[in-house]
Amino acid sequence: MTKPTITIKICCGTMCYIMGGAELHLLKEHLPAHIAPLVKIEGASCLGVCQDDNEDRPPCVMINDELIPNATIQKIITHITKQL
Amino acid sequence: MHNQRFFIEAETYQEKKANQRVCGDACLSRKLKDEDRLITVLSDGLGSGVKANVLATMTTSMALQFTAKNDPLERTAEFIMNTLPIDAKRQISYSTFTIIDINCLGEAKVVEYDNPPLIIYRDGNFYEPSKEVRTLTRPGGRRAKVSYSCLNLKKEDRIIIVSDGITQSAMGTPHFPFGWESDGLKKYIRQTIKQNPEISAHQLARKIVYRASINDKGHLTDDATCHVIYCREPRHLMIATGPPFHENCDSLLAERIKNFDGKKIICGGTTSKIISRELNIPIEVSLNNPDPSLPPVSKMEGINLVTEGILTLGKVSRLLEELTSTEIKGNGPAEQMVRLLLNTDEITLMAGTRINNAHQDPNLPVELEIRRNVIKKIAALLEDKFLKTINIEYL
Ligand code: FES
Repeated sequence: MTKPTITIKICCGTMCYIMGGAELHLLKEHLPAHIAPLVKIEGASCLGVCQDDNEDRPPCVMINDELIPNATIQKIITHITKQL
Repeated sequence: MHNQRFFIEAETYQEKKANQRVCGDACLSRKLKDEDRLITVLSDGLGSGVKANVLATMTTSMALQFTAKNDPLERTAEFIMNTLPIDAKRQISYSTFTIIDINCLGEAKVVEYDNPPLIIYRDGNFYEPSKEVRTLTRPGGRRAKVSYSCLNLKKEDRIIIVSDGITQSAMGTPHFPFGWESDGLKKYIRQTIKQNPEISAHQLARKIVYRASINDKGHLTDDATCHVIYCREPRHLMIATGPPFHENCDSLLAERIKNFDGKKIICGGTTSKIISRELNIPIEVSLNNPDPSLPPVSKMEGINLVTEGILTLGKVSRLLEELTSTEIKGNGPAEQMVRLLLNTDEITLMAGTRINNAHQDPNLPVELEIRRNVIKKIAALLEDKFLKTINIEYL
């Protein structure tokens, strides 16, 4: 069996949740079959993006150590595919 | 309600007579917070159905009002008898009542008129207070015997009041030709408490009514109501929600949570981070969420429940508002919190007042309430609707 090499942390804070993060919780169901076994999905408390005054907006996720703001399921999948 | 010595849990359970739409008994409790006093009235209206329900409801609300105003109990009894509407067919007006008035010292005054005598369970036995019986004249010159008694409640005492639908259940069966009667009921109470010495007031009341219904083979021949008062050690819970206004109070908040003797809830992402940092307890966010309308719960060792803040509080407040019984369906974060809250007697709310600026953005797709307002609403509901004792500390 392949070991997961990518860890995705989905922010479960209030702001991310109401800005569309609720949908990201369904990420697992949307992952293409060849990617799914390589990915480990976890929850995280507020990643701090919502508190900053810059362009980056919630919802956000961390893919390994990289922060992805304005995250959508599609954006996450594209990002993972690039890393593989 | 609580007093210096113990907490008083008061719960009612009732079932209506088979094939009736409404219950002809009524039971009402009110906690007078300023006086630390609890008044309960149980009444059984003449007959069954709507008419009986109106009589019983009028009786309980009148008795409650008058007792709360400290009117002499005889006057109250007399007034009720003279006020009730007269049944056109039978030309009588009638409803029974039992009034219990418990003050802050645990002294109870009891007035009983025509209900089965109240039962006091103490240390495995039944305690009989001495009763004074007085005769009142009802309209039409009929006489009515009203009994008065006083008792000093002790921790672990239970008072059980029932309508005659309970004591007369099983009537005419070979086993109980005259019904279950107080003796049968007492035996059942003793047995049930022996099996489960910590049985809650709600559970005991429900068990008694179920048993009466079984006595009647599942078709109650009269309305059955049971009210149980249980004097016990209070159960405590603390909720920490919101970061303290001054950061140097963070450690204080964490210490309070750590040293609190009772159940603990942390509600809010920032709050849990503060406590996690101060007490060095890691937060584990689970993604497994039975309620997609709210962010999931997290886990922290030593804390009974860790949830998101404002959205969850909003749902808790809605649930508390809509609840009509103490049974809660579902297992989402808000339901879990409501269940913990309702299983507690004294709740301490540690409300941090620092505003989360991100929440004030006018471009948000939903309006986020101000935490302080939601907390106030929840506190008021718990206090007035569910008779809990609440302390709010802002920091
Ligand atoms: S809530 Fe997700 S970054 Fe703050």
